[in-house]
Amino acid sequence: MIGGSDVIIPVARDAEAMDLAVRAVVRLWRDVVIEDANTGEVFRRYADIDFARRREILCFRDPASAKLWDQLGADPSLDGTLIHLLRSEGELTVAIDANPPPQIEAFVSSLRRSLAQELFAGTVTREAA
Amino acid sequence: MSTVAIDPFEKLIRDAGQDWLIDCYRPREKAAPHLREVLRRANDAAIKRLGSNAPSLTPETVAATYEKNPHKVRAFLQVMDSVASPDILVMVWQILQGMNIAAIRMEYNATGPFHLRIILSSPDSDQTEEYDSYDIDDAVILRHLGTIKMGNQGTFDGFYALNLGYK
Repeated sequence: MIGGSDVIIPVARDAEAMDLAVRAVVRLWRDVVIEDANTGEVFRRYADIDFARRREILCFRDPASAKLWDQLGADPSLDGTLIHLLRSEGELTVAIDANPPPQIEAFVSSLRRSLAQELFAGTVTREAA
Repeated sequence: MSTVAIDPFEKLIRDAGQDWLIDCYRPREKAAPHLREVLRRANDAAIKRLGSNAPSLTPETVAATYEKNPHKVRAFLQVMDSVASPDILVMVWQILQGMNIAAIRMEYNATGPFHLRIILSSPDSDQTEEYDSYDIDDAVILRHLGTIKMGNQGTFDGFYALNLGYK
């Protein structure tokens, strides 16, 4: 992930948005490793996450990817193995590779549509088809 | 001058921004005891259904969850006095704790019986839980389910509070 891109999704309630995003990543990657980007705490299950304290969450595709990220950092060989979620008032940001693989692109597109629904939406700007 | 201590469960509900759940009762003092009873019935239903694996549904455990995940407790509180079946409240709690929604089937006919069946699956094992309701009041929970698509496969996922104007 060299020169990644940020997808900013406006939401009414960022904790709920982060929650749905993490649940979705767990469905995308069954062996996902979830890490608090600020504290380094690692969660293997959605159920273990205390969202009230989490502002930035790193989702590695699997334990091997998490280990390689520790060793190599943002190396091109690791493209498509990390989804970085950040929440702030009224926004959920999904940081991904500048040229993400189709799987990640589809994931972000789907997440954006889900968060545009009434349960989550703030002031939403839809992308033209 | 004396002060009346506020019921801790009522305080939790108000802290969660769900004052309406208390204020819709007359007299208001009856609200917290009633809601505690609703929770107690759900706790009993959980034990009957899940035995030693049952989640604890008490004011204390709800408060502990609120500290870690206030958004989950808001969602739970929003339906706890609307659903008809204690079992369905258990199901809501299980989704909030991470169970997946494996299947939903609803049968409705204006002149016939209502039936809602929801099957939950564990993300960590083959364990499933089946919940049935024959009371249309329980359909209120459907409005709270998140949805997301993975490829062409649509899934219901998560249980969320309705946007009632709070943060």
